[in-house]
Amino acid sequence: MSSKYTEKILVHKIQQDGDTDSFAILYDLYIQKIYRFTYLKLGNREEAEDITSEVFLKTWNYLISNKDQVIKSFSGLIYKIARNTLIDFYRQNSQTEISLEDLGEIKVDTKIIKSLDDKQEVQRIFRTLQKMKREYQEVILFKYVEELSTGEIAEILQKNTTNVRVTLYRAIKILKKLLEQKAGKA
Amino acid sequence: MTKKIKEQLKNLKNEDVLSTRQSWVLENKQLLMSQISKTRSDVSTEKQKQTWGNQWKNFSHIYQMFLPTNINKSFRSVFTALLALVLTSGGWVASAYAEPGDFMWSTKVAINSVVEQGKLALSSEEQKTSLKLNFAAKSAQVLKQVADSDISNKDTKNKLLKENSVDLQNKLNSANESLKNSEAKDAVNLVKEVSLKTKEISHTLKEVADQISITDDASLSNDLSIQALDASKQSLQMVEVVLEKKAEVNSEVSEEEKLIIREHIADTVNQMQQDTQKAQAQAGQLVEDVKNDNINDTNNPVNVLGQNSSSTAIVLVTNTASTTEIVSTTNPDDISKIVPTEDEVNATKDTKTTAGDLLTKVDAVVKTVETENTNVQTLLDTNVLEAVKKTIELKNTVSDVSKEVSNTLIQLPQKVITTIETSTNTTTTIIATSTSSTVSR
Repeated sequence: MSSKYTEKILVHKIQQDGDTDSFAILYDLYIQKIYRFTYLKLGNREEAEDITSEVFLKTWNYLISNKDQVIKSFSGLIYKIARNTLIDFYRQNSQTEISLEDLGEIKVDTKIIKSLDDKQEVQRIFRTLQKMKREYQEVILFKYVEELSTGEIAEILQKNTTNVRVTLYRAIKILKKLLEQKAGKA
Repeated sequence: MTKKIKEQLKNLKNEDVLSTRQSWVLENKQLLMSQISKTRSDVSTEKQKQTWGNQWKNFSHIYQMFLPTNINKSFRSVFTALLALVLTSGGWVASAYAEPGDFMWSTKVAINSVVEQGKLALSSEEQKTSLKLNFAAKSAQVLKQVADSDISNKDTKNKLLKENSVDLQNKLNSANESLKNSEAKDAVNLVKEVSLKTKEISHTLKEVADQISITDDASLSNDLSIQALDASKQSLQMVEVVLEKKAEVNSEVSEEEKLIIREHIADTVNQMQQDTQKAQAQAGQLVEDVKNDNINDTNNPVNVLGQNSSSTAIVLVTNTASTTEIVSTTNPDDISKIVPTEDEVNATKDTKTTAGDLLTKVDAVVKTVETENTNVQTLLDTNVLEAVKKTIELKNTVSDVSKEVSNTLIQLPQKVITTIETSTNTTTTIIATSTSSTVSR
């Protein structure tokens, strides 16, 4: 609660005074999260870094250009900007999200396996996520990887909280079903 | 199974590939800050005037940001009642945007003090140091605000400056004490915050001291300059304390922290070089003035300029640090009192010696700063704590000599030599009044 309170004050200072120190604090708080989100969508470190930089710059420009805009949640704002930036990136580059080849790279280069019970389980989860609708994919990432609240996810996706809960329930159900199907085939 | 999937998803963020590269984070931050600083200057020039309309708009913006999204919950009535109570307390609203010198300024200061005490009371032990540092930083901003204000009454402004500078010192000391008494495990993450905030505070003090020196309140400017020097030293000492606490719990100094400390030390050394150059110039000027006999010892406030006869003497009387009078007197008692004694003549000689020694001392310190700076830079790569300790030692030396020069300048007022044009037969007649910078007839 207190960190959200602090963020609101920082956002207010940025909007009203163009306070770069406040923005630097928010940068430190969110750089890791935004990078992780973009990396999970792109699967490429360099592209994720570029997009992350772009997201922060866009966020700053948005805040100082919209002084009168009431920002209830900074995390909601920045993730929304990140999501939109990724969509623009896909359009410009005619790319889909993580390809299976990249997924293979992740598995070999990054030692994800050491923290999970079974390396194949990770592969399965990622591949299965890729097959799902972007909407389902995103709610799962926001909820379980980024650990955002339902309210924050609702703001990012511009839906109401009930809608988000329902989407999340369906997404987990579909993920579980697809994983069971794969396990059955295996 | 659902639970297992959720746990696996949660654990993903601990993986190396999903972690940022520290070097990229720092580089990107610097690049971003340089990009946004250009847009920031545009925002500053458009800063709204503090009209009541804009102040209400600002307040309304804050109010809406902190208002719960779902106001239909049961807290609504409680919140509304509290808000009504607050709004009817006109002083709170009216003082929110008070400027230094305004009627409501003291109310605003009092309210802020209560709020700060409240926050401290509600905070946990590990948050106290950080909170106190924030309060000190805010106090420095208030001091700057007072210095920048256009209060017409100089005495009021100087009084506010003194009050705020004392408040700032108390808060900084409180943060320092809190840091020293904190647990090592709580202090390990405070390197960046301590370095950046205390550096900012000493910069602000220096700016204010320099700003005040252009007015004629040399004493206040001197006090603020000394406070700025002490704050700069205290800043490094606090960094030293944090590093020692990190060493206690075997916590490594990260690359980011090293970079921040390196910048802090570079900033301190740069300041030391400026201070020593200034002290050198002042000491040099002092030597010149003494050589040209422009300096009068305060123990000998009276100089005989001429003695027409045994019954009449024309004398120069130093009344204060900035005013002198030329007086003619025929009173034999006065004449016997004012002829300089051997001790007074010796005092003048002592002054010349003191000035010369001072200049020699300052020259030596200038050389020491240049030499030791190289040693400190080398130490930074191997032992950050030792580098900080060395910088503190150097800072002490520079501070001592700067203070000595400043104090010497204040204690030795200048006299203005005037020519005597007339004398009269009255016992005492004021012929002319002079100050250190003007002569009126």
